[in-house]
Amino acid sequence: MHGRYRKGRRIAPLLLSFLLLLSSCAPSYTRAEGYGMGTFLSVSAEREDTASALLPLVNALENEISHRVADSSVARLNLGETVLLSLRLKEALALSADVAEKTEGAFSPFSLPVTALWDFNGTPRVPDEAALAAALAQVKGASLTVSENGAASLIGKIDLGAVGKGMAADLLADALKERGESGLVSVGGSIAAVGSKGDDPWRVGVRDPLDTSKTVGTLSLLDAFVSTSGSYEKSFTEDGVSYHHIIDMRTGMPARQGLVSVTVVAESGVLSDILSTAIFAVGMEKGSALCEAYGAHLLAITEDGTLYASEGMRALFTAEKGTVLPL
Amino acid sequence: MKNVIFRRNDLLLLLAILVLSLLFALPFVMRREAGAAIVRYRGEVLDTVPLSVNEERIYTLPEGEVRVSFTENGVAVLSSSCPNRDCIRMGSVIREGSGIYCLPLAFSVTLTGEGIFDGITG
Repeated sequence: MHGRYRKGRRIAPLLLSFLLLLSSCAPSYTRAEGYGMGTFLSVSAEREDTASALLPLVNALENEISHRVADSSVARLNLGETVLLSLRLKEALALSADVAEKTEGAFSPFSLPVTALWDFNGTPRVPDEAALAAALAQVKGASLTVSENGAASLIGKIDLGAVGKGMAADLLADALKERGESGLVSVGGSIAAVGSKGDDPWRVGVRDPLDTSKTVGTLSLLDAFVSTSGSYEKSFTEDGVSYHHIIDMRTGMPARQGLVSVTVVAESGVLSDILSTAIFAVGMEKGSALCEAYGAHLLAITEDGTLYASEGMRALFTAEKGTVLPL
Repeated sequence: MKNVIFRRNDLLLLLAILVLSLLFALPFVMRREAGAAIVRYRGEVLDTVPLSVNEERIYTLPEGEVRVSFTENGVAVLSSSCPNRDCIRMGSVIREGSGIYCLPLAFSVTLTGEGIFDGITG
């Protein structure tokens, strides 16, 4: 009896104090914002110096992979030089080539001849038919050879516009992990959720493609990457016809698969970024199989606003209203 | 003899620890629930506006002026010297963890606080 009393007197205050202190010590996050890769960047990290220290990493990556940067690895490859690739770039190109094969060329990393004609980052216009045909021939005839030591040589021209933001998300996520911190990074809508937010998953909204001031639902993410491709992001109208920026590299024309938005959750940023573009080009049915092949999860929104989600995505996504149909 | 786990003084001690712990936790709880719109230019915070205000504010930048509306219905850019006007076309945002961005001006308005997304994809 006295033993129970002494034990209760010792344990209870300690237990109560521990529980209360534990509940009040959930991590808080500092957010730093910036611009890079032609888009908006943000890093939410536990430490203020981490959030601000990570942003410049994106600029360094851009200097390596942007074809617009004169002495980047990609620009030099495009000029016909033999270039020693970083591991990150080598892996991104290998994955791009794999997806290109699986989509029978609907997605291609060798897309610069076609994307340059459309010029969505400058003065977009519908390309001349003959010029487009010649550009497509260059895309289809392109090839990249990489030796064991990482030295690469290229026939064709690379444009990593559909890959770069995912690569940047990977880079920032790796940097957070190296620092032993959880956090959330966003590179123009390619997002990496590292760890958890305290005891909770990170909450990522999915933009409504039919009203971009709203969202269609919430993703709950733990150690995951998400990217979205949408026809609403960049488009122009010529002679009454609307043209968006997600080009089907089989035809050289904007993909017309009845989709307005494709969101992919995957194990890496580069995979989510590539798949969101590739699936937009091949459509839901083939896209669903593609996601399954890579262990990724798919949310697709059609032109009439209907949401379709894979089984794995339905476990992560909560719609704000209406039904989410299975893929 | 009765089975006594705690005596009166023990209960007073527990109560004191409970009160102290709650006082310690309170700043963290209040910080998590606070909501605001944070206005940034070139990464630097220009202004922090509580979501409860109903007013317009004008931000004078070297590139020109940006007029922003803060109301209970959301935050919206009403006018901007930026030639693209993408920020105006975005309309009003109220629930987003990332808000309105103008790339050419490097100007942004982001919403923070409990119940708001940590990020937006798309």
